[in-house]
Amino acid sequence: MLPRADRPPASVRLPRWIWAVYLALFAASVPWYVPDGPLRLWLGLPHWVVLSIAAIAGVALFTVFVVRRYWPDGDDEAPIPR
Amino acid sequence: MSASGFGAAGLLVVLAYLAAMLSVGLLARRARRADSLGDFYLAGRALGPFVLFATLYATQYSGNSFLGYPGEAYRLGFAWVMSVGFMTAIVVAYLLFAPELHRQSRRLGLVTPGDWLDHRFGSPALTLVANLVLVVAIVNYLLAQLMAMGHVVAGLSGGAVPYWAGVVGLTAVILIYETLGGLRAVAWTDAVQGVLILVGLGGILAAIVPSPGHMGAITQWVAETAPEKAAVPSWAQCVSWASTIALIGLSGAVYPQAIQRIYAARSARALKRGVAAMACMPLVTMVPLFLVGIISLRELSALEGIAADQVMPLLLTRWAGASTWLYLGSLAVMLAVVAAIMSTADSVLLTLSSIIAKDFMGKTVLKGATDARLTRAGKVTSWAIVAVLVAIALVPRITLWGLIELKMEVLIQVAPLFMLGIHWRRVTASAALAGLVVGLAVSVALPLAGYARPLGLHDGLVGALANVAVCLAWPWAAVVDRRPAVREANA
Repeated sequence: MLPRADRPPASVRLPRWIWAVYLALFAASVPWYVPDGPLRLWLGLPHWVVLSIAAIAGVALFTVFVVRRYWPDGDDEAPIPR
Repeated sequence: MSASGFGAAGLLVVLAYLAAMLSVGLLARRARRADSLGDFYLAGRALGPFVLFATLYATQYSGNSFLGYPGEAYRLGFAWVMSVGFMTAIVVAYLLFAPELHRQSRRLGLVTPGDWLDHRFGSPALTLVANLVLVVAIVNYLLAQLMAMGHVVAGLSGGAVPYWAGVVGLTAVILIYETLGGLRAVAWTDAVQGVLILVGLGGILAAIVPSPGHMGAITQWVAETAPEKAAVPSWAQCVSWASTIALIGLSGAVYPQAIQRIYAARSARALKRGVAAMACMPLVTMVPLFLVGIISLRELSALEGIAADQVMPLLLTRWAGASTWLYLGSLAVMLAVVAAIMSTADSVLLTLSSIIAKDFMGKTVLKGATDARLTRAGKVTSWAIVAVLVAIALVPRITLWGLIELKMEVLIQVAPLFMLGIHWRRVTASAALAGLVVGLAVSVALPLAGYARPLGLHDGLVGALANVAVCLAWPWAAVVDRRPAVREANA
């Protein structure tokens, strides 16, 4: 076993629940739940296109939150082996 | 002007841009701190938040984004909005492994993706197979960029500059600045190129002015002329859409050039800021490019196959002839297209060089060689690889999107090594190697056996599922591994 000082610290891992949120958001970005029907325009685009973009905007905002909240700054000053 | 592209002024702007890139290469050469692999291939592991973000951005958005993706929107219609989703999925997939990989890269002094595989699994066979997969995938990617160079120069010059001259000329500039300054030159030019891309996207928005009323008229026209391109996607199309998000997201995150940028970050804080900014870029970048493809449905006459990749250059030359403002906007887009292609090609080429020099030559013919000698070997190798690829690119026989899909089906098989291996200690070298081989075999065998795209899923994704299943179910997976690297991780 390595001496205590040489042991690597616990790995940086993000909480598991965030993956459930990502799954839901990506699922919402695919318009499987939109019934077929006549063309409906939102902002000049088919409404299911706007729904998809909105879901991806949710993914982007959630990612910014996760990175800021759950990704530790860690060992910024760690030595760099040559 | 529209008949001959951007005219002499456009050509002068491009030449000035190329001269600026060469100057940046010279500056990067002067800024080098050591004659080491870490300094040449990872810019001394000192990339700060802005340059890191710019190089991630300029590398991820390529000639495929500006040429292949509008072309695909033109072919597929509104369902191509999936491109916004899969480019975002790449950033999300970083979160599966980048935080821990960055930490380990600083602790262990990693240079190539193979370095981490060696450390984690301690299996030369696994590292060799994984490196071969990475090389096949990025050679494919580099080839797509070279083809894009030819397309864009030919399209934007109205045919005055031939396809071959675009391929050879732009490739030569990349080789020179990359040989001079390594990743430092690539990252600095990427920073310039990233800004140009953003300015160009502003130019696109100015050129197409997609007000809801204008856009609504185009959508109505598409729905009447080609109803299948505006209809709500069928269940089968939705399955394919979800499969594409998973395929591109998981594979795009393990591009070796992306992994090396994780290594090159100055700190976890710099990497965090870069990744957070990247999460928002698909909305800023892919939505305008998607709209270009949709708008071109009405603007351009029927284009099929490879010709649809010319949508962007054709629209730019048309806009350039409409007014002075549109000329300037289109000029910005043109430079952005060239910048996007070059910034991806230089990154891919540098990564390819590092893998061949350090992981292949450094373990065989140049075993025990100094960093300086390996770096020189990598530079020479870059020139040789490019010479071969330019020769292939001069005879294009496939669409840009076709090239992208081909490489992703292969590349995704490496993703479990990083995403499972970094956190799950029970994934042994034998399990990982078996999973990788099974994944590759499944993705290649399915189309050959006439069972391509089972259940609407990509063959590569099915292969990756088999890959993961083998990793998890391998009989020896539960046995305590005795290799030193894993023993250290378990300690």
